[in-house]
Amino acid sequence: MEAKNLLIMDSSPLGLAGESTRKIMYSVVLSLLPALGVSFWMFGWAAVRVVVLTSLFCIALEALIAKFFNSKIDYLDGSALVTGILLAMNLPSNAPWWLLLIGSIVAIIIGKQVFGGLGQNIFNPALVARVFLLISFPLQMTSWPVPGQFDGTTGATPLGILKTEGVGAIAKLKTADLALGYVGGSLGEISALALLIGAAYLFYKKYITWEIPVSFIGTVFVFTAIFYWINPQQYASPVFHLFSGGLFLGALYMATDMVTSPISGRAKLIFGFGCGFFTALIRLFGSYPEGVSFAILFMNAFVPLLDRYFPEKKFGMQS
Amino acid sequence: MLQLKTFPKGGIHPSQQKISAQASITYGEIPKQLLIPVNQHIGRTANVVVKKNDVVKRGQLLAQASGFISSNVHAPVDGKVMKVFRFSLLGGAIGEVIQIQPDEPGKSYREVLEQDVELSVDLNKLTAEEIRKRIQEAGIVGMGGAGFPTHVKLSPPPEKKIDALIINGAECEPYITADHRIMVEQPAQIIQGIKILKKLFPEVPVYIGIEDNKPDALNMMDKAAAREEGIFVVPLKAKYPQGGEKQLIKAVLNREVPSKGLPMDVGVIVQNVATVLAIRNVFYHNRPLLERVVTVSGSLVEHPGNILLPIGTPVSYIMDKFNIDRERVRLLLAGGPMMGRTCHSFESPISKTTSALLFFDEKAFVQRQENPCLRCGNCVSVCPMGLDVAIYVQMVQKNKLDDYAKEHIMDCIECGSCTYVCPANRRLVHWMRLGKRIIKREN
Repeated sequence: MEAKNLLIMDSSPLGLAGESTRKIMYSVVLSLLPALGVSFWMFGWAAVRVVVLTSLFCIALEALIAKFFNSKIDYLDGSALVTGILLAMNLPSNAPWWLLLIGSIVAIIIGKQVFGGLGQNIFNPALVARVFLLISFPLQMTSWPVPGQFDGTTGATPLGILKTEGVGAIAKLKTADLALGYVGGSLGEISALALLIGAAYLFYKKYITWEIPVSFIGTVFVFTAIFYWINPQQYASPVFHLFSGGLFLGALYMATDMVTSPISGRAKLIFGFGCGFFTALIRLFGSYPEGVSFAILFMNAFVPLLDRYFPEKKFGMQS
Repeated sequence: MLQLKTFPKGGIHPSQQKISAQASITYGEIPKQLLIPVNQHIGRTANVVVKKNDVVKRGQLLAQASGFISSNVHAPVDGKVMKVFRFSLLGGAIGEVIQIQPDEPGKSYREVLEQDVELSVDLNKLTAEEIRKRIQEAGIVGMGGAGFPTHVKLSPPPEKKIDALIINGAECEPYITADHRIMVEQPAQIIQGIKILKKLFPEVPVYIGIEDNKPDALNMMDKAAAREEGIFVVPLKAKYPQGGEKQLIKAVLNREVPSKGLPMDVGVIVQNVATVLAIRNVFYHNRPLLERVVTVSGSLVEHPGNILLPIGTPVSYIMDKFNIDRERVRLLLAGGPMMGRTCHSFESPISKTTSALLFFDEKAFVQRQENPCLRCGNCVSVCPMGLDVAIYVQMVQKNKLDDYAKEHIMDCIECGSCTYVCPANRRLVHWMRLGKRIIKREN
């Protein structure tokens, strides 16, 4: 009998719900389009250049690794593309090409593949790259083009202004401008609204759950509100903290990364709280103006522990 | 609208595909040969008590249970023992079978059944002892799929006080409609069976759990039960695995069987409806477990149906009966798509636990390309037992199970929900089974 006529043998179940890694990854890409659209609008072709270059670099690097080290890697599964786009969203639109290349190398090779590739990395690859660049190239990473001005004008982010010049200097910033993106910053930290629209799609598809974003953003809000209440002359308002910097990008897209966040709902709440707590701590008392990336990376390290000690409630176990 | 009962955590909604739900139970003919598996149950293998060329009568003992947790096997028809040999069984295992050449091949099995006289049963004269003994002798096993010897289940140790019986008519697996048809067509007989069970546990309420995707079965059983005291029909939400024993108990009584425990630990005994009907036939027809209803369905079956067949009927007979093109079959499933097993021979016989035979061509089968785990947590959120599937599976694959995993893996009911929803197409339940084996071997 020819092999093609043999009966198929496999382990149950035979049916599949029809989800796939590619579907999830490309849905994330899709959900990032509104935010990308806003940054293209604000920063023009410079932003397009950053996104295209980091995406190409990340995919190409993964393809190279697939070719020379592990042919099983599916470099078109969308995960490298997501890393590339998220990395771009963490960078200024005037970043030189070599900075983008170094960032991509750090993200894909040190952030992801040395751990064993997709699903094995402990830290969010795009954030590893961002923090690496921030520490290594502080000049390039802190001169932010001003949105809507295409003449190369650069300025500080609202959080940077807050850190260096104090509360008085940010008083003229309108909350609506912050929420919509009319402020200086990286590609992805400018429009909270566009990020929310994209994330709503991921909620709908059940690819992310509410726990991490809500506890992350909620903690930052409550924590900064307490200090604002104590001394509004020294500390910025919680609303300002909510809409400035990378909080929404971090809480909706970086901290919710499946691979580097905990599994159970309880563990996710604690994870989000930790992210929010350290973000607020760094913003209020640290030497860096922004703490979202450091906070998420720090909490990433706790994920195995959180998985182990705050698992799903077991059927038939008295708790 | 009445709030439907269900188990609280996890579960999935696979496409139900109950295509044969309205197809009345039909009867086959006695095939040219029967292959009776000796081991159709959980427990010790029975000892064959016949030899080549023996003439056997319908209902005669072919293999004797070896010990308490074992089960008798009987001849479904008159015939001659041709040989005893090892052969492929449904589900892939190789096991001993007794080949019987029937005296009257081609005779309608319905006629055979009609020759069994209906006895009048005086429940008042039956003692608990006698009931258990006759169920044991009749080789009754759980017909929902597991095949656990029923007399063992019905003999809880005295310190386990039983205060509820649950009859499992959930039938949550896609495609399968065998229990559904039994409930629609033989509700009175099922009630007779329940009343025999009630003799073992007097004054104990009986709950018949049926998913709400079977309104006709709910209706028929409700009518039949209305005349009886202490028998209640409980409509359940259609959700997989509602018919899992622990999930069913949680849904119906809101009791949680403890980890590594048994239903009797929370005072409950669960029996499948087909098993109850088989028990009924032991007393009303003096007939051991000789036949069962099998759902025949799948994309290659033009007229899916439910057919009553003698145990030992080969798959090939059913394929001829339902005009299934052998050349096109690429996937033969014994049982449903969630927990059923793939089979590799058309000559394998059906057993006491074969609830369905499903025939598909290659289109129905998605080649499973296993990708790395994304830790998305889908497997954990659908697990009805609350297990951290992804985490245990990584440990099993590295053969490094920690104490935490060992503590919980054994609670896996192998329902397959995790594998069904895994975006990386990982064979999670397969690895969980392997993990269970590793732990069993260590103990």
